[in-house]
Amino acid sequence: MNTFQILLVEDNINDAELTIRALKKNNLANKLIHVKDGAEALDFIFAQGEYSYRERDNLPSVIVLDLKMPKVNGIEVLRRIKSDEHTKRIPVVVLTSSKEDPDIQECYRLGVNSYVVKPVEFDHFIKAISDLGLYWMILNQPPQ
Amino acid sequence: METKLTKEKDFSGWFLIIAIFITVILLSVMVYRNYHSNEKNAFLSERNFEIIKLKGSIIHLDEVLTMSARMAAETGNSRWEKRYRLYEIKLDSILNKLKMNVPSILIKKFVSNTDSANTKLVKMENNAFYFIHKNQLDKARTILFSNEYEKQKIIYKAGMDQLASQLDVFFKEQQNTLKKSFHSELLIMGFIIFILSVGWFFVFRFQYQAKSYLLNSIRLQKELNDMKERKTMKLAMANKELKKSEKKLIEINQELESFSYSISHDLRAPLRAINGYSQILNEDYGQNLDQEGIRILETIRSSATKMGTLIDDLLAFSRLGRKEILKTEVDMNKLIESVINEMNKSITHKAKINAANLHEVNADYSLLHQVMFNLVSNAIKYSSKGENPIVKISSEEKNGEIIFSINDNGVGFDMKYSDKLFGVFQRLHSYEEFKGTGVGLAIVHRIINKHGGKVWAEGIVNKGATFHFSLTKN
Repeated sequence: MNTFQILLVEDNINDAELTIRALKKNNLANKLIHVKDGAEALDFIFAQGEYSYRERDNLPSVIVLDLKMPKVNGIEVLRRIKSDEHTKRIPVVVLTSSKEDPDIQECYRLGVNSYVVKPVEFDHFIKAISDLGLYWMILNQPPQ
Repeated sequence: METKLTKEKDFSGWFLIIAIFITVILLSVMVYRNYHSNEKNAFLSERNFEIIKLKGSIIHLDEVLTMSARMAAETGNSRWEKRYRLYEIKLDSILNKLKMNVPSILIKKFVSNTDSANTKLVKMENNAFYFIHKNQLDKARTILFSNEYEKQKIIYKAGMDQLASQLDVFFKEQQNTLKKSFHSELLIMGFIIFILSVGWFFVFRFQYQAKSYLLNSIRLQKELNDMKERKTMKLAMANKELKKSEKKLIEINQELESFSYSISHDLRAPLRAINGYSQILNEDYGQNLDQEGIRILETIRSSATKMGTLIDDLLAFSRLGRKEILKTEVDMNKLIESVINEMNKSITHKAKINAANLHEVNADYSLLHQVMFNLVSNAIKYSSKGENPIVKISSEEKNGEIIFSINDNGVGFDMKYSDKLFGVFQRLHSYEEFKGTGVGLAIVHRIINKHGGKVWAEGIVNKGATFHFSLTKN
């Protein structure tokens, strides 16, 4: 019933393209939707605003979330997802450039399922995204 | 200050009580003496009066006796003899009284002077009374009016007069003594009054001084309090300033934190893009590029990667400045073991590492771990091009400090650049020779500094280098 499986929340178009490319290499990108900031992500998840046509029950298998974004930042998005009974079971993977300890602490406090720092080196970056996609899309067993 | 004041006050109170006590004693002595001397004076006056009275009686009684005897001889009336006998007893009693009141030597002299005369007179008078009893009044008259009787009477009278004049002299002497004692009493009283006046003068003066001292002390105390208050105010102001600058510092620190956050996030994203898109270019259009094109792409990629590492190191270095030190007992042997384990995972090397019996220190474990990691990995890196690389780690105690040394047999360095070793981004070798950003030793320097220790190095070109750092024992 899922028409998509990955929701990528990323404001940086370059990073988004690199991420999508990495997922494509593993045939995981065909079920991916990309939104460009936190506000859009919330609209999409909660089927509101420009996404109000959407069915609310149609939830992604995994959300890949950047932290530093305009309008609503990733931590706020994470808080909203995890405080809603309906959405809190969706696995959220934070994929960010920030290695700052307070961010990591805060994300885990809010109930993040994984926290991955984007490697600068492209090879490492591709490998990290591939591993992440394969793990959450194929290896991980979500609740039915 | 305050306790001293009360002590002073207590002391002056005691002083006052003692002064009053002494005054009461002296006044009692004075009153007692005065009373005593008055009594003595009264007694002396009475005695003098008695003496004068007795003196008059003696002269008078002598005449009365002679007259009574002669009247008995003239009239033959026994009444006169009775009177004679009566006054004879009276005279004796008067002499006895005199004996009691005047010095006995006066009486003795009188008695010795008049004794024979007195005896003769009494004998003659008794003879006369004998004849009067036989009614032979002529014979009695002959005796009583004889020359002999008159002569003895004159002798007796002279003795009597002498006694009287001596009594006068004695009386005058007594009077003088009285006067003298009165004078001396007056003198003593004057002296006591003088002493008391002087004493009380000092008491009042002392009281005044104590009071003024007290007032002075109170004034000083007040001034001190004022000064304290001013100081406290100043201190409070300084504290306020300090708090302000502390707040500012916290603000600056927060700014710095958000700055480094921005660096880590925003500077990295374009680097990743450079890196990623060069890779994509290589993957998708690599077949259209010649050897040189691919080399240029590689250079772009490796430079971006290097800059990423640089940013990471710089962030680590700046984060170190804000980190609190958490000191514990650190077993350096175990720490080195863990450092070597970690290193074997990330660096491939063939160096032999010797470390044994290292001293224990009191330091921040994770920071010290980083120091050792940096120094040992440096030693391995810079000796990796030699034949048999050996890294020796040792420690010694010196002047209450523990000095750790990490020695290698690598490329070493020229001592004239030793001051540049610990600066940020300072390198003595090119990136191509030995990879690195030039932050590792700066981090070591900062951590050891934070522990209050020192770090220094010795090196000889192509013979190796030794890095030392010292930590205080506690």
